[in-house]
Amino acid sequence: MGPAHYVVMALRAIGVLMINPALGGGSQLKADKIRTLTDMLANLVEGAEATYDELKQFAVEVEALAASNQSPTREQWEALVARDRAARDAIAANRRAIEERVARENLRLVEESEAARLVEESEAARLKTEAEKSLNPGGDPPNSADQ
Amino acid sequence: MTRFFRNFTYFVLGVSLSLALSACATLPIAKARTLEQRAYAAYGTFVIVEEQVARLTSDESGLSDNAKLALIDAVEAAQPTVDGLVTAIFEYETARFDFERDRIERGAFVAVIDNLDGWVTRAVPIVDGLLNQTEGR
Repeated sequence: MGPAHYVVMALRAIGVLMINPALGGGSQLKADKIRTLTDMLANLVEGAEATYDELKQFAVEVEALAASNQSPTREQWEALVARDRAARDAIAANRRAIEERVARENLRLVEESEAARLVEESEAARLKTEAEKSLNPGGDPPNSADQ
Repeated sequence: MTRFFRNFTYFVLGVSLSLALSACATLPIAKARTLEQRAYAAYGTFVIVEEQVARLTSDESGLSDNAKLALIDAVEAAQPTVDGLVTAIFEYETARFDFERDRIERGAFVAVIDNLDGWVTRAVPIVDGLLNQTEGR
């Protein structure tokens, strides 16, 4: 168990403490926010630890090649190429998902802004009508001649 | 509470950075001796970083969309150089096979070696930079 594992365990424990009022933590209102933050930080540390472990393992593999003065085999190259392709596919899929999410969010913001503008215009029109009525309280309503 | 979060975040980023620095000290490229081993180490390191970026940019990751896109941009910017490296590696493998069977001249083989050396020289700082950028997050 490396140092990062203890940090991750501490982060999770801190998260539990902070959201539990019985343990002296804050209100349930902030629970989701706190949980998200501690989970996010724990994920980052775990991710860094995983990469570190993989690099360490790979460094041992390269060191073994160097110690025995050997070249990487065709199988070793091909294994890397296969992993490279899989990672590129995953990254491309992640990019599409992010861009779609961002586009949807932008569309939602535009729609909300448009809806707010329409409400404002409608309210302005209503106020204008009311103001006109108050300026001319005894006046004939529009189109009264037709009635 | 906000101040606590800020200090707490700095603490975690500090730990991540320490891990990154430890990782730099054990970089596979530093262990390689021959050109082929250096090429293999550079490519393998890139693949490990790329896999980390795939994890960090997935839906399960807690990073913001902007941070995810920045990581993807960084890894995609490195890909053409890495592609050049991979092509040079396989050209070298073929040339070495032919040279050992006297199918090509020494000069032609040396040119292929120089080409691979050039791609390794270009790829190593890019992979290093990418590693630091990814680990810092």
